Amino acid sequence: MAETILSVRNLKQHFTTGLGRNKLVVKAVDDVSFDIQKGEVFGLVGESGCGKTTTGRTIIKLYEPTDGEVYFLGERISAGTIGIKNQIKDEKRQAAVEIAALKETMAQELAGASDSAKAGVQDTYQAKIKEVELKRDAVIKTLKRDIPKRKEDTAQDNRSILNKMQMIFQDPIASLNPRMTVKEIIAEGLRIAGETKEKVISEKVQDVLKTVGLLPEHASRYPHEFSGGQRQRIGIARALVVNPEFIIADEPISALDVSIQAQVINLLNDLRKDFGITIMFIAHDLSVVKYFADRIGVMYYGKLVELADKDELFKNPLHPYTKSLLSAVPLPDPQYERGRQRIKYDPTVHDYSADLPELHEIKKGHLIYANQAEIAAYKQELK
Amino acid sequence: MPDVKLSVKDLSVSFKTPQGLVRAVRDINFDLYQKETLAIVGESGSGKSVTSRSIMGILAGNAVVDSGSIIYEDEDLTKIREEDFHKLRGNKLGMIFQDPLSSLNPIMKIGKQITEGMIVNGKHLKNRVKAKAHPQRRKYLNLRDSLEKAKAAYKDALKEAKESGADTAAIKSDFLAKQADLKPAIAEAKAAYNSVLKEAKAEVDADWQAQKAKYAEKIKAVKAQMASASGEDKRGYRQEIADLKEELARYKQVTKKEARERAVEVMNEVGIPEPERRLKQYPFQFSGGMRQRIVIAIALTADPDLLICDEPTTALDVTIQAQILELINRLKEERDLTVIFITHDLGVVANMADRVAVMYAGKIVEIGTSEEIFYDPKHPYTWALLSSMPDLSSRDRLFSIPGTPPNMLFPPKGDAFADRNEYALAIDFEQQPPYFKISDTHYAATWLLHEDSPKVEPPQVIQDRIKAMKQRAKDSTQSEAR
Repeated sequence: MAETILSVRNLKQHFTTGLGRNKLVVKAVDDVSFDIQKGEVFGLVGESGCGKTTTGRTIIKLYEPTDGEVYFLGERISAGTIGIKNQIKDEKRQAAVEIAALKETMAQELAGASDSAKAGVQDTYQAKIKEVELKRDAVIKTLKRDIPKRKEDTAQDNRSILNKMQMIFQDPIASLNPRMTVKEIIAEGLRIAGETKEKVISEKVQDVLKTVGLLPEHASRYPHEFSGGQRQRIGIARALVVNPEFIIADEPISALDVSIQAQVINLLNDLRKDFGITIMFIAHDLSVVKYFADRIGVMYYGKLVELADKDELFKNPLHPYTKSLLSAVPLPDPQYERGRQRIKYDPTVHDYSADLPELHEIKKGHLIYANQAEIAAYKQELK
Repeated sequence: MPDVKLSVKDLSVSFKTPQGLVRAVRDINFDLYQKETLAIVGESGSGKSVTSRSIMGILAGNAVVDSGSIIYEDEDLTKIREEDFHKLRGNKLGMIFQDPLSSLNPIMKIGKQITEGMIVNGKHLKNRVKAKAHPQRRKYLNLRDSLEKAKAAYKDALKEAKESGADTAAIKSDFLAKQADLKPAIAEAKAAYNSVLKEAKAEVDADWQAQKAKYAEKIKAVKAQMASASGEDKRGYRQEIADLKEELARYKQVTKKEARERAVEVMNEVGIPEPERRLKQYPFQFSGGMRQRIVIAIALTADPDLLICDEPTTALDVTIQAQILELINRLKEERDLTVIFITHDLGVVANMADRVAVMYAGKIVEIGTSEEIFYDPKHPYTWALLSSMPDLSSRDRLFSIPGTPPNMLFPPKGDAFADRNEYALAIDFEQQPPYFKISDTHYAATWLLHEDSPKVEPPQVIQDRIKAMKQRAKDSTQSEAR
């Protein structure tokens, strides 16, 4: 069993817009959990707007999670507080209900009791209410104590750990500052990490430029002087310069031309082999993900609906959304394309009114988001 | 062989830049047949969009068509006037652009954007007059053009003669004779055009007056009936009058109401649910796929018979892409469209195309039916493109084309792909390869096909892939037979 480098537990990222009646909560990521092992490439696919980019950005702490936890190299690096706040609210509500019930029964008994007994009844009930209140306060206190800790985890900039996690962005034009030279762009991360010796910085920049297949003299140029593929290499160099162990690549090839896509994928593949870097690869092009990733997670509207080894996923797709996604991949084969049947996904096929679905391991390494009835059906399908 | 719909001959397009002329398209030739889909593939900067834009006549201001012609319905699209182009563009030639967000106006409701073209082009009476006078107008304009051309040629010849010290008298008399010939002809043509125009105007006007009188009478009759009716019935009559007025207005032009009805129809056709409600929304209220559907709907309102799709799905993700491709294919069937499909995704090409043209550095390097391009590619660039794309079974290192496309400010002397081509021969650096015929429909420009060149097999990846594809085809036919 390989070492787990990153684990995401019940991650939720909700965005709210508007106030009062117009308040709208977008559940961009809703209760997503997965682990990434050291050295693997974890692919995350789904249509645009399904929350895959938000997941990546929340992991690297560009957003504060609403709820759930992210563990990186064994340490909790961010955690949301809404869950606990909701728990406190629930606790309060429950206690209030209990107290109201007690008060009502007390009133009934008082009405029926004689004057002499009244004081006694009142006392016993007061004691009972007090007990409930104390219990409630104790629970809330322990819960509340966790909130600042979680906030601290999220806000803390633990550089020694967070430097091990880097991100490559989708658009190489928009993600590079046009007024900085390549050297400045790449060295920025080093400087933030506390490196002050100019000589060391220059050396490291030269090294990393060589690693990504650029020339040392490129360091003094500006981003606009490069082609799309070279720009993406600069983005990769910037991520690599601080020696990360884990890279989140957010659609690094979607904005590139076919022939350049191959260059960038080959480069990422080399990095992974040479430096043992773990990569989380976010994309919507399934043939590329199939080629590059080891395990693939499929997201649909903020939920992780299926997670499996790539061969397993392509051989036995179970969730109807995965099936529809796979059937939409165009292949460079006219004969096949003419006969291709696209499966349409209809989210209303799931009846989750009675039995709520959850992520369930249906086979070793193959997880699926389904309820009990569906799991039985999928098991049948697997046989 | 089906009819040729559009034929591009020796087309060259350059862009004037401060650095010099950028040769975006160099001497391309292709025919587009009725009801086929031709896919143009290539890297960015290979000239595929420039080709389609010159067909639509929407090249950037600094573009120059150096030579060549685009023949569509006996007219050369590189030469006709902008005002004549208005009749073709939209009405006959429709175009769908790459980015649906930037090709829609963000501060205009969808309904207005869809109906705009119909209303602007919908002046029926004016259009009829123009159509009637069209042959005379063309004749007149052609003559005028030829005079202008003669003048320009004369000036050039004069300059040249002066420089070389040759006799200018002969040239001058030649030109004067020509001018004397042309001038009366032009005057005659102009007079003929004007008289036809007048006649047509009078005719159409008379027709319009007759229609007006007819409807006025009808309305009068209804009004007379209404006067004797009471209460509830009056409303019905009023409606009838309004309908008649609308009918009359429709005879003159496309009314707003008519345009909206048509927009709803088209939106239904492209699969936008609840079109009546959606008409009143702004582009940002639509998802990417829906926006692209709107762009398609706008192109369809004018009933084009040639549709140019410039990377319509590049900005979309797989599922939406599949939907849009299906939509374009369905519309093509239903409306007998001819389609030019520009993309760099070979998977999409396999889905859409009947024929494929592969472009590199402003030239078509290989053209053939999609079976020929995918199962029997001949040009090294096609090989490179095919092998740089992973398919679902690839495991080995991907092939990536080394280097970058050539700078088109200084187009290379020989084969433009030679620098990046591992199969390049010495002659590739010296001389441009001609087209070699592989079959009636399949041509490739590479010296490798010359009889004296060494025999080169396509890379292993491609051979394997073709084998796998053939196997898959065989399996599927067998399973069908069962």
